[in-house]
Order: sequence, then structure tokens, then C-alpha cells
Amino acid sequence: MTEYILEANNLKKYFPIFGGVFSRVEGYVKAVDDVTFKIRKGETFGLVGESGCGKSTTGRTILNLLKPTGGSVTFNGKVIFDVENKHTLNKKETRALRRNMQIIFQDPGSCLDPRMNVASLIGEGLLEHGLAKKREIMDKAVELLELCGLRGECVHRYPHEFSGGQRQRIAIARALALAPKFIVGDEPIAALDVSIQAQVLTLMQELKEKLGLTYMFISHDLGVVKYFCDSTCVMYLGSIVEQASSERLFSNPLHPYTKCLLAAIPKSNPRETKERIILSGDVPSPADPPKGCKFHTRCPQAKDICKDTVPLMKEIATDHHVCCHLY
Amino acid sequence: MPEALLEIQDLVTSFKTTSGLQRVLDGINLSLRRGEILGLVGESGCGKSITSLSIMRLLPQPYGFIENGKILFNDKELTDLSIPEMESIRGNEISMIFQEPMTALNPVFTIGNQIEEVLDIHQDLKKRDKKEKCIEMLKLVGLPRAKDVYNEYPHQLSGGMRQRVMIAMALSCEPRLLIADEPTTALDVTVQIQILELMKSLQKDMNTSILLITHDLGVIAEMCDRVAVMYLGKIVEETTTVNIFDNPLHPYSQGLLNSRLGNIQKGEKLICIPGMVPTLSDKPQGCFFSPRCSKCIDRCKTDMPELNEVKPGHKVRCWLYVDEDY
Repeated sequence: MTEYILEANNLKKYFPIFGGVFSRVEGYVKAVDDVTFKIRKGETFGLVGESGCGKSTTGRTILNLLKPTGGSVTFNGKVIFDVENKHTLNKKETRALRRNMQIIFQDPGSCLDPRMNVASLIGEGLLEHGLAKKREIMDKAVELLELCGLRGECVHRYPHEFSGGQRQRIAIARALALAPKFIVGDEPIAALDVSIQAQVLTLMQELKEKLGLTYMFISHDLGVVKYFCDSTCVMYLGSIVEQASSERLFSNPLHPYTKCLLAAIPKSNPRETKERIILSGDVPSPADPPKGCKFHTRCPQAKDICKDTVPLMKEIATDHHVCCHLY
Repeated sequence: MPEALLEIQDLVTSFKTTSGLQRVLDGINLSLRRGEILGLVGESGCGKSITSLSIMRLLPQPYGFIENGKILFNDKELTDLSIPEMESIRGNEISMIFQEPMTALNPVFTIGNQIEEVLDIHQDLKKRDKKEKCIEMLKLVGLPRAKDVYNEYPHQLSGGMRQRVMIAMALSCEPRLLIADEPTTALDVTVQIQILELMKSLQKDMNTSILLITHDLGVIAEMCDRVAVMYLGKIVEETTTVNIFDNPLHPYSQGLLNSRLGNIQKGEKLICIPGMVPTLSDKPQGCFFSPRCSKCIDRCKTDMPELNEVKPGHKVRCWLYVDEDY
């Protein structure tokens, strides 16, 4: 039996919409709406979906970077928060937790302070947590940079002197500084060129094997997820619609939305003929999601029942869950 | 053989910088036939977008200028045209779709207003005809409720709809050449495929030639007839789309193809191109790709190879294919 490093149960995150003269709450954007998943130790867990489906919000909420509206998250056997039972960690406990959970953001240009040099960027966390003395920071930073494939002498330089791929390596080094067990990668390679994407992915893979990390990998690129992740969740408008091991999901997609997403990947070869299911329209606004199954407005296989009843998550096979009335 | 609509010969575009002239494009030769879709691929900073801006004569002023070379469009020399003459071609015979539809549309004018502006400049239409034409164009690009969209502002539309508006605007004068600069990069996969399918079907109906600039080889496979691969301001390989996927010759093209994740099995190791694109002020000696190339030979470090036609319709700029029979 494999151990779970992180369990999220019925996670919810609503953002209030203010309006009117007195800025009263007029409604909620349900960015994450009742999401449940488990991440095994040592695996790479993928989260895919179109923009605005709540992938990043999920990532940030489980790290407690955003205040959750509902649900609970257990990390390494410890409850991080449980809104229903009013359980939260105090400041000291949160700090201790941060050492084990880190995040890599999408845009390495904006997540590194332009006025700090690389050594202080990487060493910031170490100093803050009292893991290293000021004198040791330099050596530690050099070590981490070299681990991430940059030259050690770069420690005195500033972020603007680096290219996008190199900055992402710095961001990774920074995330690794505290020797975390779990890293959330929020589209870490989306802003990079194809050849650099491959480099950064290879680096992340190597580090995972070397340091025994667990990743939660948020991406909109199914090709990357297929290659990189062990199990994958597909999200649509704040809810998980299908969850399976990557192999199963890509060889045997069940939910109509997953099928459409897979069909929309551009061909890998001009000779390839691909069956196209073209979705009409755009993602509906999460402030006003459709009733019933959220996907029924765009679903090619929608039935009457989809319009008013919300489908439940069903286990079709071991480790293959789908949320659809067809099954 | 259909004659060329656009012929670029030895185009050199430079930028004036504080550290002297920087050659962004270094002797580009390209030709685009009527009704053809030509793809231009490469990493960021390799000069793809500058090529398109040079054709449109929209280089950032006062830094950028065309130093040398010819751009023949329909047997007219674009580099010699005066500004008013160029304006009559821009948007009329050559039009362009940009990557980010939010910044390309003006937020303070309605969609109708912005499409009509193009018609105002290039076509002499009555007010009512103009509106009709405008709505017809919006319907053509598959926008639902075209009549309402006519009166709406860009912020009321989603990214995919905005890109459709851009296409409607670009095609409103039935141009002969459409330059699409990363038209789907900012969009989601499901919307991307909608836009690509739309462009393909409109291209067939109107027989427009398209110069498609992208860094995504999947988009190339989906759309293009021929491809040119660029690296640091030079074309390194030019051939048909089928050829580039089946038999890429230049090590850079091979590297780009290998970096794609779609057709690699899980657990296999990725083969990536080491290093990164050098800056323009720090161009390597000899072949620009030599420091990153796995098949680099001594000659690569000193001399720049020419773009040679090694097989009919397959040009490559690499010393590996110069003395051998291919």
C-alpha cells in the first residue's frame, strides 16, 4: 500500500464579487468547487484544464497561500486546515510547513525580486528558517545553482542578467533550498521555448529521482503531462471531471471533455489523420456556471439528465474516476 | 508551377543600439507562392517576428531599418514604396494577425468601429453597406450573435472571440497575403484548434497565401505546406512540411523535433538541445549553431555554410551536407 503525501477533501475556494453602492457581496466566483484528490509519495501528479478552470487556485489553496472557503487538506499525516472543523495551523506551525512545501511559478521573470542577487534570492529562505548562517549562504547557493545546472559563479548576478530558462532554474534552486518534500509547479515551463522546456523538464525529473520529491504539476499542455506525470486530473470549471493514471487517461479517456482536449492537441506529424471533436464556444463564466453537469453546454454527448442533475464521481476501474452521466 | 506572390531576397534588417548596429535578420531568402501556407519556426529571438514586420514595413522606429535586400510582393518592390503607397497595401493586400488579440484591438472603440476603419481606408462603401459587410465578416469567422458583437467592446469578448475579430478585420479587404504572427499562442488548446480550422477553411475559400509564424511544430504540422526554420536571423532549413517531420537534416531542426513531448513515451529520456540561443551582440564564429550542435565539425567553428539545395525542394544550411551526395 502506497502512502499518500497529500490528501485534499472537498476543497473549495470562492472569491466574492463585490458590487453596488456599498460594495456588497453580490455573488461568488467558484474557482475551486468541491475538489477531492490524493497524491502518493514520490509521484508526479498532473492537473490539467483550460485557463480559468481553477488549476492554479487549487495549487495555491492546498499550500495555504489562499484562504480556503471549505474542505480540508492533510499533508504528511498532518491536517493543514479543516474549515468545517475550524482547524487551522498557527503561525509557527505554518512556517514549519513551508519548509516542506514549495511552489514554482509560471513566470520566472516576475517571481524573482529584481533588486536581489541570486545568492540572496536563494538564501532568503535558509536565513529565514535559521538553517544556515550568513557566511554559509554563498556556498549553499553555489551548491544549489550547480545542482540546477547553472554555473556557481552566477551567484553575484541579478535576475535580469539571465534568460527565461536560466531564471526558471534559479526559481527551482530557490524552491529546493529548504529541502522540501513536495513541490507545486504552477505551469513552470509554459513561458519557455520548446528546446528550453525540454531542458527544464529533464532537470525536474533528475531532481525528483535524486532528492525523492513529490510534484504536483499544473499545466494546460497535455503533451507535457502525458510525458511527465504518473497520475492526472482533468479539471473543468472548478471541478475534477476525470482522474486516472496517465497511461489510462491517455489510452482510454472516458469523459467527453477529456476526449475533446485530447482531440485538440495539434498533430505530431503532418501525415497523421486525427479525428476532431471541435468544442463550440468558450468556457462559461465561473461566476455563473451552468446547472447540472457544468460541461453540458458544450458537450457533444449531452442528454436531458445532464441539464439538471450534477453527476457524481464514479470509479470505473481501479484508479480511474470519472464524473459523467454516461457511465 | 504557380508563380511567387512574395519573394524576399537577401533581406538584412538591422537595429541601431548603443553598442552599434545589430543585424537581426542576416540575408533572408524566402518565397511564398499563391495560395500557399508557409510556416516560419524558431525559438524566441530568432527574428521570426522581425521578418514579418520588415515585410509590413512596421519596424520599430527609429531603431529598426532594412539595410539591404528586396521584398517583391506581386512584382512590386516594397522597400522602395513611399509611405502612402505602403499604406494602401497594408491592410488591403497584405494584412496581419498578431499574437495577443487584447493589445491589438483598441479598447475604447467598438468592434464594428474598428473593422469599419479598415473598410473606410481601403474601400469606398456607403455607410449601410459598410455595416452589412462588417456583420457579414463577423458571421464568416463564426462569431455567434454577430449583430450584437458589432456594437460591443473588446473587453466584452473572450480571447478566442477577439482573435476571431482580428481575423475578420484582417480578411475584410480580401488580402492576397495574410501574415499570422503566433495567432494561437495565447489561446487554450480547444480554442486554438477552432481558430486553426477557421483559418484553414477561409484560406481555401479566398485562396489567400498565409505566412504563419509560430514556435509550435504541432501548429506547423496542422497547417502548413512548406516550412522554413530560422536560427539567429538566418534560415537554416527550408522544405515541405512532410519532409521536415520525416527527414529533418539540420541538427537544429532535429533538436527542435526531439524536444517535443507529444510522441515521446513516458520514461524515455528527453533529448534536448544544450545551452541557449546566444544574444545578437555575441554571435558565435562560423556557423551560429555550432556551440550547441552535437555534430559540430572543425569547419563549423570558422565558416558559415550557405543555404544549399541538397535535394529538390529541400534546402539546408549545414556543412554536413555540402560535399556528400544526398
